[in-house]
Amino acid sequence: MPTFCRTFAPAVTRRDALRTTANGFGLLALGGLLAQQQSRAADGPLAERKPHLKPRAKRVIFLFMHGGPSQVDTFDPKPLLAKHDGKPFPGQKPRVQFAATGNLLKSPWAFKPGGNSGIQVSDLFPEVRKMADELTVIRSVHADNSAHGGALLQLHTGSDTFVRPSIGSWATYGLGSENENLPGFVTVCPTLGHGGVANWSSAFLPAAYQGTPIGHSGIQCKDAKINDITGDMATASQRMQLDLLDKMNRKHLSTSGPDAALEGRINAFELAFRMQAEAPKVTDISKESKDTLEMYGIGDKLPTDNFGRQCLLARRFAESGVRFVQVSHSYKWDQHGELRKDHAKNALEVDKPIAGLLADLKRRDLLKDTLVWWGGEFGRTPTAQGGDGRDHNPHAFSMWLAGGGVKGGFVHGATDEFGYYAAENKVHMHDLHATILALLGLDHQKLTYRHAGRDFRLTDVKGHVVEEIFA
Amino acid sequence: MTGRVALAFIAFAPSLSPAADPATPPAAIEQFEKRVRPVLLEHCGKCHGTDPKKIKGGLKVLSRAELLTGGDAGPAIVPGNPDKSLLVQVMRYDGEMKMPPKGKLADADVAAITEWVKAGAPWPDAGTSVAPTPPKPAGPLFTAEQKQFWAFQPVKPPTPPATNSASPVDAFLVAKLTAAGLKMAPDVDRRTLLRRATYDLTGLPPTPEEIDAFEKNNSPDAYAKVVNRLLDSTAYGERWGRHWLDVARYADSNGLDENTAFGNAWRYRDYVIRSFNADKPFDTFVKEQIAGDLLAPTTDEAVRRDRLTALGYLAIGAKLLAEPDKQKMLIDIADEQLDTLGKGLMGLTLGCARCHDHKFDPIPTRDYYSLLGIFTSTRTMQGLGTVAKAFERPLGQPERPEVTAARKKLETTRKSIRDLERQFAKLKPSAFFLYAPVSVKLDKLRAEAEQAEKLVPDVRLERLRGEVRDIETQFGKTTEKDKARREELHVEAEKRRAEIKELEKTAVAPEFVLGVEEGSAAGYGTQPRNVFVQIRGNYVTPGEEAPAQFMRVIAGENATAFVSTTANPAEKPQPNKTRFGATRSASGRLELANWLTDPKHPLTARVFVNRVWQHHFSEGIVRSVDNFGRLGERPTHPELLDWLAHEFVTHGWSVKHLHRVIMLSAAYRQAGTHDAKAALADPDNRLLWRFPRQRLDAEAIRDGLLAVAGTLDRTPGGTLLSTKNFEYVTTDQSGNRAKYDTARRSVYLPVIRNNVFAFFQTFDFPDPSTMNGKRVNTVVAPQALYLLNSPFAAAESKAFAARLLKAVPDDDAGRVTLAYRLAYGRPATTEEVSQSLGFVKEIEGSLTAENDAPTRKAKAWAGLCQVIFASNEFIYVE
Repeated sequence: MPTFCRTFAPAVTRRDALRTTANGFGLLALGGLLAQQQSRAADGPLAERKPHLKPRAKRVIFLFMHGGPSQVDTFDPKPLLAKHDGKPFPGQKPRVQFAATGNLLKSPWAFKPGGNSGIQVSDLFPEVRKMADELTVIRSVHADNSAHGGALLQLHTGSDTFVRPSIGSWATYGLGSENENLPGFVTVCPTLGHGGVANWSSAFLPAAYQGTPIGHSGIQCKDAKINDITGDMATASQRMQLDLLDKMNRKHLSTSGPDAALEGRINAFELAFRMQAEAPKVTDISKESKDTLEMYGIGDKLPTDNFGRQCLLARRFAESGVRFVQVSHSYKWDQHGELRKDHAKNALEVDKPIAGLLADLKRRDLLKDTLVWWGGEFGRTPTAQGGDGRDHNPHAFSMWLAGGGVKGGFVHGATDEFGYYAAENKVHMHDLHATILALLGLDHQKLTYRHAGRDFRLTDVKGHVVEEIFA
Repeated sequence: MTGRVALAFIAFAPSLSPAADPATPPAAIEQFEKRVRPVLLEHCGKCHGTDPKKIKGGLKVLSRAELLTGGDAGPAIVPGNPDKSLLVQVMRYDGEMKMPPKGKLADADVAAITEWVKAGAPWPDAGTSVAPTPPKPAGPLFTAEQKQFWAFQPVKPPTPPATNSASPVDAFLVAKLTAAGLKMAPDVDRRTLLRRATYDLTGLPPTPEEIDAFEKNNSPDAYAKVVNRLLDSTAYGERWGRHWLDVARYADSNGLDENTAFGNAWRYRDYVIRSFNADKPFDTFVKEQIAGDLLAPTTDEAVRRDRLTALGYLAIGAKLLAEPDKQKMLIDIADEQLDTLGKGLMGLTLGCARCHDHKFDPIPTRDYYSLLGIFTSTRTMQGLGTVAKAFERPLGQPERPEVTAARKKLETTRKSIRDLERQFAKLKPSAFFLYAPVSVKLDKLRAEAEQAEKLVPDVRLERLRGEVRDIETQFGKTTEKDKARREELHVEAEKRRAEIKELEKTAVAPEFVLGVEEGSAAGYGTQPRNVFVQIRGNYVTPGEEAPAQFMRVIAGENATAFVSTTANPAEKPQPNKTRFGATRSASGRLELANWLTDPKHPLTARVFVNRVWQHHFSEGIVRSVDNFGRLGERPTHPELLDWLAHEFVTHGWSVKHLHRVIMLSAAYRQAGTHDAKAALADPDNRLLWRFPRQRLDAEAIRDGLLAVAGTLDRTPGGTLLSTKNFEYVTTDQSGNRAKYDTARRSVYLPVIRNNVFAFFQTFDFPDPSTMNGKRVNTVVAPQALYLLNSPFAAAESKAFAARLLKAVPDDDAGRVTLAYRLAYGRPATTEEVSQSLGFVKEIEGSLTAENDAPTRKAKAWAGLCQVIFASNEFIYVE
């Protein structure tokens, strides 16, 4: 029963138990043979754990806009950009650029105030604009890598250089799950490009914290399911198989002496059996009301159907106790050209489903402890590529948070007058990660895991919690 | 970990500035106290002085001296010269480093600081803090404690303690057990021992015939013969080669940001398997992988090819192929190589010293960059342009010069033709007089191209194949009535087919292997040279030059340079540029390989011997197999480790000898019996009072399943990757295109980074993006789901059932016994037989919808087989 890296833990610790008998999506219920371990019976890797701080949110739904939506066309109005349209950018362009860009390009979309707060949102997001009073828009997010792969990795794992656990894995590691029969971290239709699995991997954290993919971005949400959740065997026959298996394994165990791994494995089969009954129920939306489907824009041939289904699944997973749910609109938002046409098309696909998700969470009283996080891996340049495109820009972009403990109708941070660089109250990706963990009640400096000779954190040696946005 | 904050300046030499004039005018003092000190305290102090635990960038700003000394990036102020003062520059917010990070200060504050620096930075209470403190106290580099750390001591062959044990291995173990009042478990039964040894050395279960033969052979050397038989089987290299591939982070695709295929990586994988099967001395194995291209020339063609193929070790790392910052990319690639090699061969986390001196081990940042220079002086990529490709070397013999010349000629002629055709197409009707001369010239060029083409077999072959395809298409379109035309086409095709057949004998597609070569200026600026230390891992803040010197804690503080260097006055510090130093006569790869494999090296043999021990006993003597540093574990049996390392090296670094020594010990042959007293005294079994139960790894589970089902395909070598070299394996819109529906051994399945084969992922195959010498062993529900519901488990259960029904058609009990012998290496008890048959009957009875009795029977037996595959006894080895 090997365990890696016992150096830092005494022989029997919870962490050891996690490593060796990490009972996947659920708790490890150790039976009678290991009397001395019974006190830890409910202490599986996904058992709920106490946060470090007062939690403001219990779970996260991350709406990932893969490709990099343009901040100056969505949530960061720049009147000067319109005024100087076609003129050179007066400031200094970044030292390392993804590609060369030309002169300033004004936004093709008008901005209007939304809600009572009057937050300016462009015409790309008319439905989300109506929910402005729920949002904290952070206009000063910035990161380090101007290529998709590196930027996705940094967004999801904090590092664009090394393989590190995903933020969803960290959150689940820190808090466990509210439902032992489901994974703690689910990602709906994630991309397999630009880091692929590395973006939802648990890296060196125990496998129980790995994101469980539901399909991938190449297929429609309605066809997506968890791998091997069902097979060909009829349930009745499978029950007979499990009964025989249980007999054989218990006999084997009785001759081999106490062994937590052997016993963990006996329980894993029972858990799998329960999971395959429960998980398909969560992904089955057939019992949702017509009104709900309409809110999310779900309907045959509607442009919002696919993302609407993803958002609805996100709500259903959140409701069922999954700690971290990601849905991906992938990989659409990379408009080096055809900005007018494609940003409009992309926004159309997601605007209504997102607004629907927020409204649905709110009416179910889930928004108060569910943190909804929206954004891409970087923003875009205020300068043009061709006549109708923008390049990648990690130096400034807008993301927004809603629900779970953040202010509503609030704008934090600002970019320069053209929207090229984050300028005021800058929020680095590490800061955002620290803040999201803090909202969940986790201190990013204390949430560590010892691996290969040192304690690792999501925020490496960085990160500053942006308390200003807390409600 | 890499600081990415790019600083828009270079470090200045500390200037010995005058102290603040003691007679600072009161107005200046007032100005300082009112406008400067509060700003420094309020906006800078939090990270630069008030909290001693949180000093960022090594900079403190609470006294004039601290500002003059500065931080990692050099002095913060140059009194009298605000433009040269870092403090002012960063506050202006126009360079790359901007402070304070949360937003620019008010203009008035920046102006106040600027004025203050301009005025000579008067600091009223500066009386005591005048001169900047020296950057580093002089003294010995390492403490005595660091130098005496066990892992850096030479291997001393200890004498085994006096015990009754025949094997020195046992002598060391028994001595410690006895001291703890414990003893080894009794010998394990022969069937279990055979299953253990067979899975251990080959990753496959023993066959019933092998079990019978071993049980019947009572000679004292029967077991030793089994060990030899297993070591001689090709399956041995497939199993133990795979263990090394974990350490080498082997993969068939790049992973990370752009997941393109390594179409030739499999040649490295096959080389590793070949090397283990041949019992290649481990020192040679290491040398080939680090410097195969630089070893003394050989006339043995197979050795030459192996040496080039071995270099794949350095090239197959995961890299950011679209990294926009090319200077960072160069360093990142070298860092990946050094880190992999450091952990893999020396058990040292060298990568930790990239940004600062290693916090726990005696590895100064300078030593890291000294070694890094070896890899920044090595060409690993074809180029750094997006999307970058790993470097490849031709494996075959160099082409005949006339073929190369013809190939070149063909290339230039084809280009001329294309250019001319383009011009021709653009000719205006008014320039009709040019038509004829241009077309004459074109004809001449085309004739030349055809001539040249005939000399280049692979190009000619490609052309002919294309023509045959065209002719076949035409043939298909010609009606059967038009016999003459058909005959004509047939003749044309046959003519070409004959030529193709002839050409295929000589024209072999050029073979390439992933590898590296000595760096050069043309190879994206990898000419051999020193690099400067990069403070906080950032190339824009160079520190001191890192000489060509091996790690000083091992090589000595005054170790001579491993390659000669020549000062290069042309290398001047430039803002925002990686700083390189003296020119090296060579990268130092060969010297590194020789240094590592020197029998006196304290780590290489210890680390490898420990890996081998770990695979036999599931834990190493040093349990943190990839970390022999201070934060790693201490050896449970240091003398045994040294004895094994010495034995290994003195027996010509023979890995198979090492296996024999270990496997013939009583420790390896003991039972896994539980012992309550020992479990209490030594719950982790560190003293080896019993043999540890081990779960099969992903490959052994899959291969074992296939072998038992009777479907395993033992074809060795080659590639199953369906993606072309450097094409995308996974993209946003596609799943992994690699095919796993094959019955080949697991080691031959493509290893796709970012999307590892689901079966492997589920059963703890390590992330192939980074080296990992020790796999975790989880028990998770998805493993159960896989065995219950996956098409693979269903298909193999069906095949297993079919095998049983065919082998034992008429005897239900005999069939159960055979199933147990195949899967568990033992016969079934009567109770197990009746239990199994009861189950089969129950399932058969439930399949009411199935009318066909034989189908019902097959399904029911498949159901039983699936349970056997899922059982603990199948998945664990005692």
